[in-house]
Amino acid sequence: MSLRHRLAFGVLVLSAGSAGAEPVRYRFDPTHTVAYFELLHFGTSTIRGRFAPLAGEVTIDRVSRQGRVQVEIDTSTASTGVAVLDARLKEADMLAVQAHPRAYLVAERFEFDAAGRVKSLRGEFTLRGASLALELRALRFNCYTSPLLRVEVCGGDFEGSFSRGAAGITHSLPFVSDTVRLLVQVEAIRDDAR
Amino acid sequence: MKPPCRRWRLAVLCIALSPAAPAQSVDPSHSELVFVTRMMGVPVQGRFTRWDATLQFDPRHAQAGRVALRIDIASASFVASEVSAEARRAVWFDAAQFPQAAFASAAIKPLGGGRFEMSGRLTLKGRERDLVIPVNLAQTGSTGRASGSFTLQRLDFGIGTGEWADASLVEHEVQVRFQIALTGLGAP
Repeated sequence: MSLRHRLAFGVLVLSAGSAGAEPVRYRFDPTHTVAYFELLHFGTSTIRGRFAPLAGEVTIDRVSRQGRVQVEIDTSTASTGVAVLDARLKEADMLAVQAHPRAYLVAERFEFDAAGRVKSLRGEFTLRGASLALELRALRFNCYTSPLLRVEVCGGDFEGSFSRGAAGITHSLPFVSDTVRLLVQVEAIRDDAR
Repeated sequence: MKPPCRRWRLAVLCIALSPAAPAQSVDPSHSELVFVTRMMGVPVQGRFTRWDATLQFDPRHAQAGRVALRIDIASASFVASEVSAEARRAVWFDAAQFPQAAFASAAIKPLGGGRFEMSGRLTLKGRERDLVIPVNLAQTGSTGRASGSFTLQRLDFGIGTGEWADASLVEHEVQVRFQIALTGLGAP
């Protein structure tokens, strides 16, 4: 596709979704919204776990190319599939789920591609009461009409990383990496005033 | 019950003199029985396509009226056929074990202006609950349209149990809406 064609296509896609353009609100589908985390163990293998389900909503204005997402994460849902690891993770020097039962992500800096798909978002991740800058980049983004619900669903896979030390989780550094990689599966259901 | 009027010559006279109004009937092709719940916040509507009603209802003597409804549970239909198939499974309606739902009125109270309050008992998935259903009756000659809506709690009937009891997936409250076309009504 030539650049001209690509631009024309983008305009088409944008105008198709812009009749009476205004911010559209989507609410997370709890069955398809999961945050996975990865940490490198002794530089050898990857520890994986997840937080799910995530509660939250996202507002997208495709015309003004703006968005806002807010996510609430129940830290007690952290699960690696290994019971002893999960119990350790929840203790006061790590996720501290009693003192900090929730982690939050609020992001308002959205980037869109020419076709109006979300490309990345930047905002603030609050973990253990500490605020960390976080950027999530879309590995893919798409919208479709759910055949079950007959409404628009948008979502994608997003990737980002943060330093756990910055949130005060320094246990077993440097044997377990400071960098935590996040992989987020998200789908959100269009929520017109219903 | 009085003996039936057997002789056709007297039939007209017999009906005219009969103190009880003739049994009314329902026209299913102009009636609907729908229910709405919310799945992850999105309204999802289903309908029962096979059901029948027997009623004796004279708007002038509403208190003496009786309504009975039988619903073929396997007829629950949604726009998405996957949902229709899912709804019949044991965790939801369990159509194999409980093929019919039934409602029987216990009392009908006229409220005036074509409005009635019908109380009765609903049997659904083997559980029984008393209901009070508001009914509006719009009558034109001998035909009428009875309509109304009320809410049920699906867990009262064990519908959507186990993991599906989670209200964030499927709301507990279910709105039931009905529009029933009646024929054979007496003068309003």
